[in-house]
Amino acid sequence: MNLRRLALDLLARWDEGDVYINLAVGRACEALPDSERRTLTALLYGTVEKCITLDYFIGTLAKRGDVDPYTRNLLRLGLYEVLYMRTPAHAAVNETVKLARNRGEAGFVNGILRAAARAPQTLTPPPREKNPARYLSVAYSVPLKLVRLLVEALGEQTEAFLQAVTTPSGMTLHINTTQISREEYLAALKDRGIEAHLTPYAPRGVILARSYPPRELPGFEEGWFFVQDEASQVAVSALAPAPHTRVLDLCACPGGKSFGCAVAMGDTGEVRAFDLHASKLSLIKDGAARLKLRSVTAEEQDAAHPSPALAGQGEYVLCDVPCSGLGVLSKKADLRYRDTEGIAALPPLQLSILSAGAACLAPGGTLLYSTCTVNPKENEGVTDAFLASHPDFAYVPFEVGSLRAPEGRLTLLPHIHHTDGFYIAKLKRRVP
Amino acid sequence: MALLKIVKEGDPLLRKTSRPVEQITPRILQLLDDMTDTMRHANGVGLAAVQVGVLRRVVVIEVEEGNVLELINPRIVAFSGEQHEREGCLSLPHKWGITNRPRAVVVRALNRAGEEVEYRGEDLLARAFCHELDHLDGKLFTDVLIGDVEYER
Repeated sequence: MNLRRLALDLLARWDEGDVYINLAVGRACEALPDSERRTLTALLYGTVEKCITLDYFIGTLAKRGDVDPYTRNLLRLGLYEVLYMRTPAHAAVNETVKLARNRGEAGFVNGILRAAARAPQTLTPPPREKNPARYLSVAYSVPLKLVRLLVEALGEQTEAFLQAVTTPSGMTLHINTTQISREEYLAALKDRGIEAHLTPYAPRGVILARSYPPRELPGFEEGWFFVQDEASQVAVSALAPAPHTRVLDLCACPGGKSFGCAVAMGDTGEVRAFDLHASKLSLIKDGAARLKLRSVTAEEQDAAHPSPALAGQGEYVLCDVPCSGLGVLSKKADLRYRDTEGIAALPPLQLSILSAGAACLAPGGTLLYSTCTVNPKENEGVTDAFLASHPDFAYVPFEVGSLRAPEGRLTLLPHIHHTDGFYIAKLKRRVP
Repeated sequence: MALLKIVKEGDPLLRKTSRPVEQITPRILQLLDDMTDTMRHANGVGLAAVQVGVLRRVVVIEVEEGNVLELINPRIVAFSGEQHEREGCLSLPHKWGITNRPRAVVVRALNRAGEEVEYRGEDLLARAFCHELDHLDGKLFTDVLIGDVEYER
């Protein structure tokens, strides 16, 4: 099958709001050989990510308003190829134009793509001076509403944040030190000619200069590592579970923080990983089996309403709540297009999960709240509201490497810490 | 800021009765400041002077962040209701238990200016008042448990 036609079909269905792009691509990829899989993924994720930028360029080049959805999607794909992929421009243009013929739009599409290929440097976002929010929206392909939310949260830092969070980073691994030391693993990478260095803050992390399929890295089958951003590793280190204790991970999928806790405890205690969706528990079970972490078990639980039997059961309780994901925009191509009303509905859910977490806490236990967003309403907003309704709790200071959180709260920022955008709050019950 | 050492279980001081403050001297004011610093540093809700080794009827409590109640010669003048909640103590680390306390209490004391003040507390604040005032009479929360002591792992 023609890859561009397949991409066009999938993009059209995404455009109509029919599918999540990652699910659609995943399904389509099953039937494809590796090389085509990579091309399709890069083309589709890239086009979806850059959609606002591409539409703006199409608007400047088209000089007419009535572009039908089919042709618009074709132009998005073609323009993405011409501007951002390594396909020779003439091939990208010719192949795309072929798909426009049956609509009688070949000339139109050809004109636009050739103009873009001829002088890509003339395609620039609207001037920043005139309308900074619109400039940011087009330049980084982020919906205006989201730009406004980010400006409210980050002010002057918004562009630096967007620059960092929309640039795909390398790949970060959490080394399973129950199987191999971080230094030994780094040496194993070096033997294979893979460029890597240690994470600056987290004690068990390794950063690879570029991404690889995990199976192609040394020690995948042996369980020497799992993929996890440094921010999540820092959260595990902030919790710092002591050996032989019990950790409850309320929103555990795909399991990284549970694995991290088990590794931090030397696989001595008990990590109970919960998730709302029973269908996803196999991700945790398979991961724990590969990593040879016997202390991790996976169960179905609704984090907002966990079983009463869990009351007082966890020396450590982890609430890595569902969130807007503004700190991981580059990792999920279509996340940025989620409506902002959906984001506004998150804090009450997050607060109910944190409150449920508090009820699961054993006497003297430690509660950790985390998100992968920089939206203060989902971060300090939730933990402050929790403290207002739970006066016997307080933030407790923590340190991870050179990161200090004397106020018990830490926001990690991609343009400063070179991690995902992330929020961590550590809470404990106070005593009279 | 000065941090004081918190007296731990086993020290006979914790079982002694504290003496009233007769005059609010600069030393008492310094004690109040140091007790607040110590309480905050230890992530506490409240602290009695005996817990830092001073047998005087002085207490600090901070339930609402930033609102420290400083109590000199405090006494409970009214109480009502009942609550059974989990309690711990800065002097008894790793020990917890459900206590029987009034739901609401009214406390009278002197403030640092020597003026008579009255506070009404419910829930956590009521527990904190009872807990700290018990300390002044050599009582610990483990004396008013309605169940077993729970040990932190």
